[in-house]
Amino acid sequence: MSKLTRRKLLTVAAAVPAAAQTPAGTTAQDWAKAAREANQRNGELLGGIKIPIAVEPATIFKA
Amino acid sequence: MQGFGDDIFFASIAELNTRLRKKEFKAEELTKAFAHRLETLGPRYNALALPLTKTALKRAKSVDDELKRERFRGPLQGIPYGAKDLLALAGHPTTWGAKPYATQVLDETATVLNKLDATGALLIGKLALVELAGGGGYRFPSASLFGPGLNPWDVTRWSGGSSSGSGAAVAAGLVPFALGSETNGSILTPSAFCGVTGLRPTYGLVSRHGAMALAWTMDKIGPLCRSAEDCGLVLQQIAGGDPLDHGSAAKNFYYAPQYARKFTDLKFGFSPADITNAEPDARPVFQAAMEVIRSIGASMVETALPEFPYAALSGIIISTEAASIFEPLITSGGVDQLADVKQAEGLKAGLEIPAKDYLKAMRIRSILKQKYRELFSNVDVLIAPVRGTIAPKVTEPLNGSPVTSGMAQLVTAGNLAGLPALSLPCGFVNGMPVALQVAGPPFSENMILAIGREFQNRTDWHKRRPKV
Repeated sequence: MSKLTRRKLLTVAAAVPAAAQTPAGTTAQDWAKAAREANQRNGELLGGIKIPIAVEPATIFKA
Repeated sequence: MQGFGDDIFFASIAELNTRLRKKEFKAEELTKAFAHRLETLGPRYNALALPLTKTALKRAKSVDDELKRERFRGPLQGIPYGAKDLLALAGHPTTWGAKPYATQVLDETATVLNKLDATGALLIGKLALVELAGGGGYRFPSASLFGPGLNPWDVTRWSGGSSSGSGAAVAAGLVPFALGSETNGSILTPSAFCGVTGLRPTYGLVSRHGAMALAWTMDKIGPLCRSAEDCGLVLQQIAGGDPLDHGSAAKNFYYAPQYARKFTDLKFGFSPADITNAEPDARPVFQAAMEVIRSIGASMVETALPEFPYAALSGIIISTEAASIFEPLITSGGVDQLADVKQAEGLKAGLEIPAKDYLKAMRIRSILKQKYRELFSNVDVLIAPVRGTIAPKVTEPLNGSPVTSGMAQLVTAGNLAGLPALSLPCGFVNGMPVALQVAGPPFSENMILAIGREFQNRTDWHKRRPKV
C-alpha cells in the first residue's frame, strides 16, 4: 500500500466535495429525466416478456 | 494493560476466543485495544460512524466475569466487532449514512445486535455506509454522510459499497469482524475490493428487524470477516427465525463444514467467459484462482446463467420498493439533502413506476427462482469473479459494467433469487485485491463455507494485510 500522506488525503478530500459530484452541465433535472427514462426502458423491456397467465408475483403475504 | 502486537488485530475469531478462554488477556483489554484502533484509524478510511467504546468496555467487564467463572457462551464471547450504521441500537444515533437522518435515534435494537450481545460479542462501533445503502442509485463513492469509503490497500481507491466501512474496518484490522447488508452487491463488493471474506446469506435466514429497509424482498444481513471459517461462526450466531421480520425463513443455521458433502461428489459451475471478461491485468489472477478451485477435486461444469433481463428486474424492484419506503423523505423534500444528486432523483423517479411494471418484474422473478432451482439440479455451486475489476478511484463516477456474458450478472441474479454467496479473496492486481464468489442454492451455506474453507487452506490471500 502506498503511504498515506497529508497531501494524498487533501487530494482525496478536495476531489469529492458534494458540489463537485455532478459533472459540469448535468443538472438535477437531467438526472431526473435520465432516471425516469431508465425506469420506462426497464418497464418496456419487462412488458415485452410473455409469461404464463398463472404465474403469480414472488411476494409473500402471511395473514 | 496488555500490550498487543499487530498480529492480534488480524487474528481469527477462533484464535482470539481461545486466548480469552486461556486468560492470556481479558476481554476488556482486547476491547480497549480494538476500540482505540477503530477510533484512531477508522476516520482515515471514513469507516467509523459512531464509536461505542464506553458501552463496549462496560459490557466487556461482565464478559470477563463470565469467562472467569468458565461460563462459556460460544466462539464470539469477548470478541469485539463493528456494525453497519443501518442497524439500530436503542438510544444511540442511527444515521443510515444519510444527512436527513444524521440525528435519528431509534428506540429499538436490531435483532442481530441483540443476538450478538447475548453471545458475548462486543459492539465497539457503528460503521459507515453509502447513504441509504445506495437506494436510488448513486453516481460517486462520496455518496455518504461520512465521505467516500477509502480502501486500506490504497486510500485513493474506494472501499466498495454500500457496506464501505465494514469492508475497510475488517481489512485494516480495526475489528475482527463486521456486519454488513446486501440488497444488490453491498456485502460482496466491499469484501472483494478490500480483500476480506464476506458472506451474503440466503434471503430470510438472518433477521432484518431493526435494519433500515431498502427493498423488503431483497435485503439481507451478513458478516464480513477474515476467513470463511469466521463467517460460519458469526452466521451461526446471527441466523434464526424472527417473528418481527416478515421475510424470515424461520430457519436456524449450525456451522458444520465437517458434514458437508465430499468435494469429489460436487459439480462446480463456471464460465470461461468470466476470465476474458475481466480486465486484462486481472485475467491471470482469476485463471490461477480457478486452477486452485479445480484442484479441490469437484467436477468442473461449463455453465451459463439462465437468460433474464437481470438489471431491468433489479432496477424496477429495488426502485419501487425503495421509493415506497422513503416516500415521506421524498415528498417532504428531505431527499434533496442527500449528497448524491443522481441518487435523490432516482428515488423520486421510483415513485412514478407503474404497478404493472413492478408486478411484472415480481412475476418474472417467480420464473427466475424456478430456473435457478433447475440450474442447481445440474450443478452444486456457481463460481465466478465477484467483480472483474479492482476498486475504482474514489473520484471516478460509478458507471457499472456493460458486460453481461458469462456469469457477469451473478451478483444481481443471486440477489433476485435469494441465493447465498461467499466472497473469497483470490489474488492481487496492481496491489489491489480481487475475489471469487461461490454461490449456491438457498440454505446451502455449509457447503459454500466448506468450499471457501478448503480454498483458504490452499491459499493465503485472505491472510494478506495492507500497511496500516
